[in-house]
Amino acid sequence: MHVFHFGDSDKRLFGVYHPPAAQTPAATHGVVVCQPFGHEYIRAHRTLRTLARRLSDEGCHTLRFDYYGCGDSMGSGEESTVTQCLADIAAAIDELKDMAGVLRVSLVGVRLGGALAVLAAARRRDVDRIVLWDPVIRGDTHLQELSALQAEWLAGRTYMAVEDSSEIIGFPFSNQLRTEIADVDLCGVPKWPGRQTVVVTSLGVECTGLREQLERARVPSTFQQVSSSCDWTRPAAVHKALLAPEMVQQVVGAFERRGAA
Amino acid sequence: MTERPIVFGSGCSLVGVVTEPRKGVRAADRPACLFLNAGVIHHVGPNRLHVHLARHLAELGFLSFRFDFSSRGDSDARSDGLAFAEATVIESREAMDMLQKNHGCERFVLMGICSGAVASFQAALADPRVVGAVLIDIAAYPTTGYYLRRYLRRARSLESWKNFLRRNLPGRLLRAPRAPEEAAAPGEIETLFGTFVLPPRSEAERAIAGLLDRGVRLLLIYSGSWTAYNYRDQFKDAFPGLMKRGAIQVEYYPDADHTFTRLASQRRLARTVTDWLVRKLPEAGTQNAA
Repeated sequence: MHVFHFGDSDKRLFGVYHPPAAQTPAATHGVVVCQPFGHEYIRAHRTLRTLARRLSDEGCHTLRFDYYGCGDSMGSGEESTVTQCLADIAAAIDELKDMAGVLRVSLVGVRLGGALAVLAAARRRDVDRIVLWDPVIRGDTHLQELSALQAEWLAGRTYMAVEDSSEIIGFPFSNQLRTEIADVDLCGVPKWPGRQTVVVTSLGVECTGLREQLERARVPSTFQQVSSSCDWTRPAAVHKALLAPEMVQQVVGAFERRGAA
Repeated sequence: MTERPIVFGSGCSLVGVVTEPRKGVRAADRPACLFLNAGVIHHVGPNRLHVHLARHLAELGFLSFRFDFSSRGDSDARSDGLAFAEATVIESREAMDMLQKNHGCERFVLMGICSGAVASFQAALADPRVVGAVLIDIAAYPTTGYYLRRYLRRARSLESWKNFLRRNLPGRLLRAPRAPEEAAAPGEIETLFGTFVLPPRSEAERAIAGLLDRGVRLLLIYSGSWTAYNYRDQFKDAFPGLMKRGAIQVEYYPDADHTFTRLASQRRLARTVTDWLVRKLPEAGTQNAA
């Protein structure tokens, strides 16, 4: 494991590189993990670290990183934008290719990170496989769900008036960020990127329209659902660490037996 | 301000980030701040609170370090089977060793929420380099005032009366209540790791007095959702002798939740911590560093 900063000098990003486990054959495949956003990022952190470790055990060069304005990366939450996140994913892909010597990478995207992964991959030709974990399909629907979650979570906490209506569960969502998220629509991506797409969903998550979109695009794809919930929309879970061994297993499964492919 | 990711630790690989003031500011003249994990939340803190604080403190000339204990966040698990409570003390001291060696820091302030406050307190007891601690939602001892407010609130609560009727009326005339999300009995603290049982009051008083004897200053902050604490002067009423010594500041935020989710409560917390550090800490503990 190697922790480091990368990217533009005025917008340094925090990254954690997990090299392939020593016992695996020399690997030529890289995986960039595109994290979820806001409180979902906090909830998922340790589980995504486990995922990265498991992927490195499978022989993948794996990079986790924080978007600008998120986690340990530079910038404040008020500066977060979709445009910047897409630039950050591009920088992470380039960084992993450079440091691991791989030619192509796969992307694992969780929630909004899934939508960002697809949009970032659509801008380049070196993305091999895209694995989506409970991906956000439509940004406007996602914002509605987040707002409803915030309202429901606050409903039982009368001592906590929220003056700043732009915040959602502890994180600022600027007008620009909201506008850009609202414009996200994976069913409207004109040319679906990547050689293959794997969609893994937890209990209760539906990917309305995505299957049809992938069939239209004639992209080889598989859809898998696990029997446990990630509780993305349950108010009592907004501060609970995400434990999702089944989801991790399914995502790792997308890379198993890959070896040095 | 500059930040640098660090891997350190002897028992396993522990990960953290050092935040330094701009070049030319001698941070070693001030105590360095350590942010300890709040429960299982990784080193950025609840709602990224540790990152905000670290960068704000750097502007004021303080060096800080946020890191993950073993089996938390980005850090590895220990292989020696050490109990978590013991590991937090050892690993906090290793973080101080690293900062002393690499940055010349000799005095430290520890800060933590919930289980992070417990870890901060235990590490402060164990290491004389600690000159201050910010303990957020740590143990609280019930007082007469606490019980009065607790039962007065219950008497005013429609839900409490419904519960009373549920228990005392035959049959199920009322639906069962939903399980409370944030419930803790006096004398116990519900943490993300389970229930933490308070030490006897006299034991806690002796331990805190020992810190004050060393010149350690304490900032205690309690949130409104911490059910073991329900009015501003509860600590003062529980430990009047300790408060008279003038080295403890207590703040009560009735409108904040346990992880300071509101942006306004995050800003208020940051102001309180930085004001306390600037006003109370630069001179504290110099006798230990001498």
